[in-house]
Amino acid sequence: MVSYKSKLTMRRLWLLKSLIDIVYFFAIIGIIFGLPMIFMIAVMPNEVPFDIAVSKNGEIVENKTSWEIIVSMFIIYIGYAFQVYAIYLFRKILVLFRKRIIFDVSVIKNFDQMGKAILIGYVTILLPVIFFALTSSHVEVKLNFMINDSFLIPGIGLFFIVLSEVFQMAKDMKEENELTV
Amino acid sequence: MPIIINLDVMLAKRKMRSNELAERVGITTANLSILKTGKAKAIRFSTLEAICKELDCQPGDIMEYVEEVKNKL
Repeated sequence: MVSYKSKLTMRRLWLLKSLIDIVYFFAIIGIIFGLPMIFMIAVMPNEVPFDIAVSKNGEIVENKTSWEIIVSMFIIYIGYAFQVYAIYLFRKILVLFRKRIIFDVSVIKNFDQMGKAILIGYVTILLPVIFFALTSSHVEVKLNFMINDSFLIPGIGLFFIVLSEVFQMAKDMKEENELTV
Repeated sequence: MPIIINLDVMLAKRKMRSNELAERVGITTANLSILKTGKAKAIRFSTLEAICKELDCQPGDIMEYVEEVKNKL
């Protein structure tokens, strides 16, 4: 029975690892091509094969590359990199789980760093959004966006930080159990 | 930890070897070593009972409380 459960867990773990591998692969593509694209927009805006537009309420107000857009894109890129780093850490954790290393210092550290990376990434991505919300006259639309989409991400970040603390407690309990004669 | 294990003293008094005690008590030599070196965080009453029975002693003979000295800077 235990063996069957263990096999089932390993299969689920394998499935999750495969899923995260795919997500990580596509996220890395964004990292590789993101920075050269921002650089291209900054240096050769006329060579970019698409328009970069700033819109207010669906109405395009500016259709050229300004330093504000480039800085915002760079900040979003950094935030995105933090989120990709979180996915990378999650992959590392899953590899450790496959090796049956569960209540270990490395897993606890990775969970903690992952949670922090998600939170830092979220805040970094939010900065340009707040900037454009403050410079825009239609604040109502922006607040709606923040409530709808974005509370889940810091929630996930905090969840992983709490999870690392729970794993630390579990590790201590496991050690105590092992050192009971 | 302020609880000191004097198991090796009792073993010497009874002229018994660690692995012999471990075998009689029914615990592994590794666990007995953990107990002897003071690394153990807890001891079951059943283990304590078995050790006392085999060494013909009281729990106080194999463990004692020594107040921890706090270093004042």
